[in-house]
Amino acid sequence: MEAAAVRPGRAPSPAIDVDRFLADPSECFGQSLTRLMSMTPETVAALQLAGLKRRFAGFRTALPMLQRLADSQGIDAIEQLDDVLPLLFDHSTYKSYPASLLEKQRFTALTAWLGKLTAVDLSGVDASQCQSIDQWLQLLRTETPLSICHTSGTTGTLSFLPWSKREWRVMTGQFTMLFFRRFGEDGPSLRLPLNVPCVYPFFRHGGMAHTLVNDHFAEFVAGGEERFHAAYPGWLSSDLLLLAARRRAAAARGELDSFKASPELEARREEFEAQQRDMPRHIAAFSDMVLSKLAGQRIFMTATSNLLYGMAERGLKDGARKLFHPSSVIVTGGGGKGMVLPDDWQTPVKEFFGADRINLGYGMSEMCAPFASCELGHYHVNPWIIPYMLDPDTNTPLPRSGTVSGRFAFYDLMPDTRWGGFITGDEVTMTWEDQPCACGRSAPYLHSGITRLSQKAKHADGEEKLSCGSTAGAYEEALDFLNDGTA
Amino acid sequence: MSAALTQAPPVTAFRAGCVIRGQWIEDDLLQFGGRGVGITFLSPDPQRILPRLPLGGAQGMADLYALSFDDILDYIERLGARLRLADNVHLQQALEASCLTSSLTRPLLQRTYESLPHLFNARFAREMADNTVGIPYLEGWVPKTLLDGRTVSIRAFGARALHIIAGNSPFIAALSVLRNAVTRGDAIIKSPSNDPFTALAIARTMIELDARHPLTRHLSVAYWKGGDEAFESRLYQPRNIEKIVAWGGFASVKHVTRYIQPGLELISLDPKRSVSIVGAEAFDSEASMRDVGRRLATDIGAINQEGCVNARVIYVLSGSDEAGLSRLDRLAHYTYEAMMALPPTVSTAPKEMDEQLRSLLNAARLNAEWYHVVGGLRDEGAIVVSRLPEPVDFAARLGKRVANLVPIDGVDEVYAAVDAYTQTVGVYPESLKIQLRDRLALYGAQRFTSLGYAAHAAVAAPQDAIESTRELCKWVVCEDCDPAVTPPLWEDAELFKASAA
Repeated sequence: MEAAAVRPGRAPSPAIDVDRFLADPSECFGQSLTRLMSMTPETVAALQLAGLKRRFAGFRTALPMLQRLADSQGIDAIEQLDDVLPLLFDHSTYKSYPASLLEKQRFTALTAWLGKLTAVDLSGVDASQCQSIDQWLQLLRTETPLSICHTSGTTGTLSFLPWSKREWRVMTGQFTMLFFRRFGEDGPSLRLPLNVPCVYPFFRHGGMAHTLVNDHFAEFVAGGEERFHAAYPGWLSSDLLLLAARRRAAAARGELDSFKASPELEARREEFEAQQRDMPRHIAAFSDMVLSKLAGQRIFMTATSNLLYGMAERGLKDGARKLFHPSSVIVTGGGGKGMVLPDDWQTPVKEFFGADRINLGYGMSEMCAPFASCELGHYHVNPWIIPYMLDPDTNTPLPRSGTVSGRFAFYDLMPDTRWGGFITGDEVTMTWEDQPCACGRSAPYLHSGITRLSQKAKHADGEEKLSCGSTAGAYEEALDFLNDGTA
Repeated sequence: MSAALTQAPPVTAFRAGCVIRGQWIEDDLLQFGGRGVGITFLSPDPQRILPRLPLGGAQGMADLYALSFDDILDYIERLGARLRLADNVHLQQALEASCLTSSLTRPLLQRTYESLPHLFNARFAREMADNTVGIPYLEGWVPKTLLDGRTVSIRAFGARALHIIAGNSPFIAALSVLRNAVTRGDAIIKSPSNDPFTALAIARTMIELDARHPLTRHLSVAYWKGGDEAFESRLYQPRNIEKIVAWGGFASVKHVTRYIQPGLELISLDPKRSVSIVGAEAFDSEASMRDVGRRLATDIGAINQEGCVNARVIYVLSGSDEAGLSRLDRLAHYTYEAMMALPPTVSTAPKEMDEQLRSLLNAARLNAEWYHVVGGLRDEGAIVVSRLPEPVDFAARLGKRVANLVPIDGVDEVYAAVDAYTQTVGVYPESLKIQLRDRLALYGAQRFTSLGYAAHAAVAAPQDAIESTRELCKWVVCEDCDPAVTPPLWEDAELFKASAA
């Protein structure tokens, strides 16, 4: 890495077309991670402000939910970055529908609610016949430009995020740039599809961001389903996932005794029994595929760090090691949300999978592509994301310089059909661009050790955050519950 | 608590101590609390005081039985006279500390402290003891001749009890001291981190009143971190204590259950929530709407909705059609206005807002077809009107003077909302209360009261559908059997047969 050549201030900063940048940053920068991450702070600031103005102007009347918020705040224009702060959505916004709509299968009302969060016209969608979340998501995916994802179900409710298919495609473009290129080592342009086999140790399909994105990884990374290898070929049922989340929330409230699955879910018992019955067979076939056909190949894999660690522990115990080619790309969530792993968890993971590095990312369903960790363990802010640091108690902005700790918020400039402003529940430490990282990237960065504010809430309220790290366990518990009526 | 009483800075170190049976101890201090509590305080190392906390053998209770009930009342009366905030330095210091640790604001705390002399009052204590236990049982053996001719005498003896109290109101500490005194118990009060000083202040006042008095010598107050298993597993043993009174949230009460075993029983005052039900009569006139608005505002806003008695979800027989919703909107406005106008000794803007609740409220505000939010823009409290006949999804999170009015078309719709966690049901009008109380009691409701009195509960009554003060006692039986009257087993007598006499 020629760090000196890419020091901020020295990098050439040609005028960057805002529209091109908003449309697809990786394309705008010729998929050069080095160029993207070497822009001067002034260039980035100008680009972000211009982008933000454009997004606000475009969405002010197109998104009814934003319009109502902006009306109540009396905000009609954005002059500086902080002007958007009163207009940031948070996790409550994306689950602000009454939960009974899901229980009563009132998907027409849900569609109308979702329509207030997206610029995509949903007025022609007839969801009246949907009887499950799975069906509703499928309907929207086939009949509209949307491919909406949902979260894992904080406190028993799902947040629905109206991503468009185009946004997922653009996200995949950024993702491949972030993890298949190395900063300071620009080789020939990436040509999508990459035709790199994908390994995914969970369900191939599902409504959560990390299962939904498989469609795009299959297309642009694997270059075809035949090179996409998921542990389970079927669907991670969103209905069952919600059941899992609601059960956990009920358990935390001490109300498990009165907890029941809906008749609609009971009616699908056969489907779920088959799913559970087939799991051992699928996992055996998956292991066989990975061990025999993919051994020694360069692969791409995403998984939570606790899943990777668990696989590595078991695999190494069975005597397996160095499964794949050292240049394999393994990406995992490094936020450490609710997971307890030993400090050196990467060592057995690298030893087992054979990749010479593990790529860490900090991201969430609400954000286009994760922040990739540099060699120094810092999560660099992607320039299409405008970061904000807020006081955790008052949500007032903290200084945009030096190193500060607080609540992380952002405006994601990439989405062109939904509002990109979001306040997270994460407490982070950020070093701004006036103190650039020694890795050479000019972008500000988050330090590792990100925590959820809810976990350190002043009065623990017994609510359990079902983090992505525990989705698999919760889903299996729900399968047990539904299929045995016990658990 | 003798030193370092400064106000204001975000983290203030308070010097606490502990009281063990009439002795004030402030050795081996460790630091507790921190950001989560609002202050840090120094309290004796729990491990060091542990050996001294249990009473030891039960014979140590004998001195309490040298007292007549009148002696107890006399002591309570004299204690009450010393618990005047204006001239009790311990209470003054406890108030200052509570202003930092408690979720209540200063005016509310001050009013609670100022009320202590009313609670520690001979007439009130007598009424409470009589209505919740029965003074004759506390005072001696109460004989009764049974059908089979024998005489059964029953007496309520005090028990060695650990009181793990909640800190949402200083009143809980005071009530625990009072209940221990009238039942002649030996209490160890574990202070909560959000109210570490109230019980201590009362105990220190008792030492000053009469350090050698049996009632003073059967109260201990200490702090240890809840969940400190190394400490708890040594103290929470049948040889040390007979009963645990556990107040608090689900997790903390559940935690205590692990120590329950034969010889150590649990009196669980576990988490509760309360609802109110408003009949269609509320809409009879402008005056009735205003009246109901003020009563609702009080049930919601009193003690800043920090109590389990406070109304959170309110079912209103307004009807769920457009006309009904518009009536309900008006009631919501009246309720909000009345809540803002409550006296500051009864209710104030919350000390700090629940950030999650604020976010949920803001999101609800953006969904006008489902919710109508009145107020709440300044974290001062809000009324959320559901436009569907169901509570908001965040009903369990309601607090900080945020309540939810739910339109219903028939009383049947409230049954589903009442369960074993439902403590108080405030009802308007009185006729509806009479109509509902038998049915709702079956569903789990534990207290019915006139709308507006939810946060003004009677002390001289059962709590949470249990007679917790009675349960603090050991109910001992003494039988007198005369073979001439009650046929003896050695003559192969039939069991359960009425005497011929």
